Amino acid sequence: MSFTSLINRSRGVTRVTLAESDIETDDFSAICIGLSEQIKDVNVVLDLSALSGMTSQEFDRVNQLCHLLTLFGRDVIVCGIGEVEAMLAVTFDVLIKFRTAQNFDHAITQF
Amino acid sequence: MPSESDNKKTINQQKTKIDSQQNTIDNQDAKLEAQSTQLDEQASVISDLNDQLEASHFELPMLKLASQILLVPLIGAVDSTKALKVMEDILQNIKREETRVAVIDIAGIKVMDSSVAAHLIRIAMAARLMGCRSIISGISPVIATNMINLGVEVGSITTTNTLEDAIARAYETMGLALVPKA
Repeated sequence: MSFTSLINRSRGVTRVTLAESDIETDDFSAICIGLSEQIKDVNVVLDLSALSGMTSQEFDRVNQLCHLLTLFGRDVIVCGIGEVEAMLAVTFDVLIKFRTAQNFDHAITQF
Repeated sequence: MPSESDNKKTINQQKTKIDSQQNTIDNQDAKLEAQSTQLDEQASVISDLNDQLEASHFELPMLKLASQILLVPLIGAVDSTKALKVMEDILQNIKREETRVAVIDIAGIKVMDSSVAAHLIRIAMAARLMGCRSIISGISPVIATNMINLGVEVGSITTTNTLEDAIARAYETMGLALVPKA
């Protein structure tokens, strides 16, 4: 499955910068599996900074991806959540169970 | 002397007139009711605007204790409009200052009901999503008892009795320490 999210590996951490197009697609389950196959490190940072104006469905999808990666034994930290997204996530009751950081630099200090 | 048919005719005309007047009254009643509803709606809008105006004038002190450590003392009554303003201000500060620890001191809050507690928890959760740890301080024995009775779950949010303890925790989180001068 092809996806447009960026995957970078550095210092034993895989950083996934989620792209808007990937979480908007109807075939998101395939995207999840495709992404998880590409992630080789245990430590994963899921960067949401490229996303804006997320809907509840998109929040659910990101939540689903976090759960999937956790089930695959990955240590996931979500970063790059904006003010509006943070308020919406609390309202939708998503992502609150996962570890969070302000940005990638902050996230890697937490592993 | 008018005949019986003339009388009936007059009565019918008067009945028609009364019916017409009744219709006019009904129409006016309906109009008044509609105007009353409109006035109620306008009063509600004005009340909302007043709340918003009050909230926009609500000054929230944001004290930078150290690099990336923020202290927010909440004073007085906190309703849902104010709570939303507090949340927005704190989240904006987290983004602007890259705040890692926010100490929310509630010692100055007059009344702690379930709605205020829920707002506080939402603020702490939203801050955490932005990578900022929240410490709620100033929980008096009365407020603690209230929170237990209200069934408020603080979950993973750190709470302390005094502001002093909260500041010490905040410094500890940032790898700093307050030490007495030698």
